[in-house]
Amino acid sequence: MQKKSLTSRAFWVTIIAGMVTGMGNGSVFGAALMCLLGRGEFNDWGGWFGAAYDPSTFTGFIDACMILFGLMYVVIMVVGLKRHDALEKAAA
Amino acid sequence: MLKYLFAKNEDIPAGSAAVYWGFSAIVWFVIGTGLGSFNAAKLAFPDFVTGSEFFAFGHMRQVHVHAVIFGWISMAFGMAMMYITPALGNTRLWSEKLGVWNAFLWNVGLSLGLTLLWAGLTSGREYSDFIWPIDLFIAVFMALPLAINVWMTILTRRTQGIYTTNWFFAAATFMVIIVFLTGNLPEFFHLTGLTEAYLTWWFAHNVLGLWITPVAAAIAYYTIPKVTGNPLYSHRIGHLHFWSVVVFYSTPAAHHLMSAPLPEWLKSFASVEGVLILVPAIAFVSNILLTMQGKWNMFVENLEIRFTVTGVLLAIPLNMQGGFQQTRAINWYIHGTGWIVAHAHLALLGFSTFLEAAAVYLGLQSLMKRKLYSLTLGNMHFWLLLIGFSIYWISMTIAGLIQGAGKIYEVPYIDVVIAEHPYMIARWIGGTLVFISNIIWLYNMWMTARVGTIVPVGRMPHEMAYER
Repeated sequence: MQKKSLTSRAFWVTIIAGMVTGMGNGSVFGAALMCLLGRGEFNDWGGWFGAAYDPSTFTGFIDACMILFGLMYVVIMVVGLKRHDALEKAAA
Repeated sequence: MLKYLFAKNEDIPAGSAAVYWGFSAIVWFVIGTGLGSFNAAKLAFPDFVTGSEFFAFGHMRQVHVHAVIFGWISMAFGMAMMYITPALGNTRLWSEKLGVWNAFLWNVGLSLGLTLLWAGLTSGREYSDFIWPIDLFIAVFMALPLAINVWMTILTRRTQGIYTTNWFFAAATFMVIIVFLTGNLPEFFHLTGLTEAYLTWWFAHNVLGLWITPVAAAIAYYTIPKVTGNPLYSHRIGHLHFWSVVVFYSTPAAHHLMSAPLPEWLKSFASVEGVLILVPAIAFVSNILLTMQGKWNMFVENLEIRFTVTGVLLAIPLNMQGGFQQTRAINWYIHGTGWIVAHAHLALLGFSTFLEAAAVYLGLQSLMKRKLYSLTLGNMHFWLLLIGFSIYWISMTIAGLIQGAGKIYEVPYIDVVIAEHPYMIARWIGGTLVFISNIIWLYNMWMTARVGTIVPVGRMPHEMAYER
């Protein structure tokens, strides 16, 4: 029986480890950008529950960056693992 | 194991010291994360266990931090040094007896120090919380014997060159003694004010930068080539990593005090150096990931490789955060918030722990010549640790961002506390998963020692992982 592809076998570790890795980078990018732009009106601080994920608020924009970077890093890992899988299958 | 304390050196089986260090490390990890889970419960549910100063958060936090740093992480390092240093020198450990005594003294010193912290005897300085007699004990009876054993094993090696891992081991065991003796000068000589603040953070920064980070990386330089069978991608990049740690990581302590009235030039210098920490970080991550070429299937199939590569992946956000969170603008935002707590856990529970866990798995199986008792339990340990850590880190980072925004927008403090409450509960859940995962690990390794299948001569334990 042929083994499943590397990307499908590494699905969950790609999702979780990739997401955390990307979110870390996104947190830095988002925080740096919001520090550059500065604060807005009081109600835009974005601390309350769902507002913390609304990209139009101060906190929400950074959290959205984290999620976006996380997803992008998962995509990068999937592409990378796919290419390595092809190389390793060809070499086997 | 205690019977070897008074045995002749030649009568002690090779690897005994490493096994002692390894099991001690896992036990301290269970204790340390158990305390962490308890502390997180106190933050999530403020009425949880009140009325006794011994269970007050202020006491328990110090015990948790030191149990993890000097119990789990440092003893796992000791374990790795006891078996990797001689293996890379094609020789035996210089003194197995010194190694056993060293592990014994490490457990005694740490137990004493933590008991005193628990009782409220503390220097009151973060990370260098131990009182000065304990600091001296650590330097003389814990760190120095480890350094002597590592250096002498390297000096009596039977190989021509010194592999990158041993460069790091030799330098780190030397530097941790200097860090303890210099970083605690304020307590030895009653220094106060900015001098005390600076040296306190010099200690805290360099325990991370010259002990935990380089030794964890050194372990990966051994684990990945050893298990995959691939040679290290580049020794030269390894040397770049080593020397850039020496130059860039040892100097930026002032970036922990960006809001303090230190000289501005010192803060600017430290901040630039802080960004340059990305040099060793990129060298390390790229070197390890490129060593994986042609063996990426092992990322799924092999437990030690999965732990190590995950730890290396976590080094990416760790160093991106570490490099930039100390620049003036971002530091003004996130200083004193949960972000910092999350970042510290990314370093210690993410990056570092995953690399050390791989070394302890590999080392204990190889030294005891026994196959892992249960791969299922090993996988369960990995997943609970990863999921628990991820929940913890994400919730604390977001809580930190909320706290920082609350500071900038001058939101009433109690409102920030209420907004953070869900994240404190998530943090407790994540920390508890990590604690549970370590109980599983301890059971798995204990059973491996007792009833694990014996590995035939000439084979490595991980090669037999899927054989029944």
